[in-house]
Amino acid sequence: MKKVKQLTAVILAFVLVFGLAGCTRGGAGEKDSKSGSAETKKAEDLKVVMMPKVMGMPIFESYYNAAKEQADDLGITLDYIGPSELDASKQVNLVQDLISGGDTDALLICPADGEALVPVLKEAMDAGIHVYTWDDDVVDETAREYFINMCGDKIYGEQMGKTIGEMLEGKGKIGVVNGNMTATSLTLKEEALQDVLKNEFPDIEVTPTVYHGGDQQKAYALCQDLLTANPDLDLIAVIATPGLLGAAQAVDASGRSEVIVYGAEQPNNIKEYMMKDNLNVVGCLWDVMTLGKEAVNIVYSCLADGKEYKEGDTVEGYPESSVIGTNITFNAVLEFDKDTVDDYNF
Amino acid sequence: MKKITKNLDGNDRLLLIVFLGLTIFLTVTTPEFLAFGNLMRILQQMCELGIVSLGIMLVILTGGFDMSSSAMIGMTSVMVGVLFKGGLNIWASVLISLAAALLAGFFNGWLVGELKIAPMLATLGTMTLYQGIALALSKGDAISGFPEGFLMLGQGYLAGIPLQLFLLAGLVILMSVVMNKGRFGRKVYLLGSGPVGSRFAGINVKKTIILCYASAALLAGLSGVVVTSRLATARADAGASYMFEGVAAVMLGGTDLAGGSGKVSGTIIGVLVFAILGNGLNLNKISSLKRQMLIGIVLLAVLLIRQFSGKLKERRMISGQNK
Repeated sequence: MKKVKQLTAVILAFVLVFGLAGCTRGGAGEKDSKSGSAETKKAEDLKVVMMPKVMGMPIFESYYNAAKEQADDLGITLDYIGPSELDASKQVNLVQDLISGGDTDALLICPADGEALVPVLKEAMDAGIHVYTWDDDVVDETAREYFINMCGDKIYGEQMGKTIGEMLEGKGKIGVVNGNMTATSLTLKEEALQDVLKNEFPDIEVTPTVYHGGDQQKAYALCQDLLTANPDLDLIAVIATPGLLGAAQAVDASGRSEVIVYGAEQPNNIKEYMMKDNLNVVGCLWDVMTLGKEAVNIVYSCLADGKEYKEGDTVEGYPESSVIGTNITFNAVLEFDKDTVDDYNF
Repeated sequence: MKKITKNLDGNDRLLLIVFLGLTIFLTVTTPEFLAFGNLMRILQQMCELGIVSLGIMLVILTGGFDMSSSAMIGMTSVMVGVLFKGGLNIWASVLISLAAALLAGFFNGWLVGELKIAPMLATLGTMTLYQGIALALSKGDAISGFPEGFLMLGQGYLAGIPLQLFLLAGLVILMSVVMNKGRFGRKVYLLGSGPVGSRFAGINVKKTIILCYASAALLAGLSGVVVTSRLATARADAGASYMFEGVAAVMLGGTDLAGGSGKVSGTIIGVLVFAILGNGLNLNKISSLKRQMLIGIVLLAVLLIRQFSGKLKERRMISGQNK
């Protein structure tokens, strides 16, 4: 009987707590009514949350630095919170808690999984939070207002493909390193890259793609394996950061300086390897700082000025940019090598 | 306070204090905490961990340890996805995947109970095996495109209450009854207190162990189904952090890692404490990185208090002061 009494005590505790909840909020389920509706708000009151795929990745830190600077200039509050692991369920939980928190006007999120985040982002929109995706997108465009990125995934992938083809003069063998399979943007980039190679440079042999999952150490190990398994490897193409560092390290350690290391990384991070005489490292990214800054600007313009971006518009100050559907893109791929790496500071 | 909780021993009292203390603290500092929607979301989020923690507790009660629970979640998740994508009806996929989890659990139990391999070693090996199966079947891919009906389990609400909570509640009641009323429960506790003594007491040690590991695997499998439904994706790494989090919750709930004592209610409160703590941190926009630290601090604090109060009780008992 003692155990039943204990269970009863626990149940009573629950009833106490949740009964309290029932009293304070007579409503049912989802609609925690709050502010943040369609009207424009004053700058000082705007609360924006920037949520990366995972905390601690250098590229996201760079995005945040640029975004914070711009947010300070505009006078709005920008919080930077994200999951401690690259785990979609953790990110979903975070967004849910933001909804509960009730004081977020806009969420700028880079989804860890293009599918898993859809239901909760829709929930967020229903609760009055303006949702924008940046750097990577969700598969359902009704789950967010706009997707902001520096260049279309297809354009990026095609550029990579073209550059690879040119660098190898149409013949050779390459390895492809990507981040994680569930990232929509990375997958699209790779598809475009593979298509260009298949169609325009059919003599280039492509080994099966490997995934580093956002871990530089893993990228290093994967590239070592690539080098060992393919003594005739000419180039390693890296689509997602921080893989390029791992690749450069692996090539450096192997002493095979004829292998070109090409792909996504921030200039500052890869500079050391780029400047080495025994390595041939070429970077292909986009202006991270501009994206971070302009993402905040766009969010601000939507919330404070009620701006809408329609098909065919361009972003103020960026004549090369375009709006395709709900995708705001700056169409600016950035390639750099040892001669130009010093031009950039991010 | 002591009078009201007279029937609870020190362990449970401490846990209840921590739980209520945390709840009251958050209610006062973070008004949005007590909102019905937020509480329901907490419950929705903690169900997956709650379900697998029940299984983790069960195995720990036998004096063993199942390292493969997270891998089981991932494997079940992937199987559901692969079978469904292969053309099978979603619910058939779920049933077959659960059956596979059960089988895997029997395998775990057989290694520990029949071959008498140390539980941690055996399940470390099976963990790697199940992870591998999950990765191989899924090819590292996440599978999605599940039907609405299936997604309701993880994302739906009935009268404002998340659906998976009903599943958890049912499992909690079932397990409480089995552990407290049935003969099986007594056997498990006895086993945890000492396998040699249990054998002399006439308990079929092997059978009990196998059943425990199988049940734990099935529970992990159920958790995997819920995760898959909530995220609408089948992933090999689903629930990857749940094993450690589950063990922490079970320990917080008062289960002795050496086996032999522990309550279902304790485990559930343990899971709730972590869920509420996490929610409180998120609501206050405190970095996830600090969250790990805080969870560790709470866990250690409770364990230390328990250790010291245990020693205190011992000393009192010895000097005849304990009432």
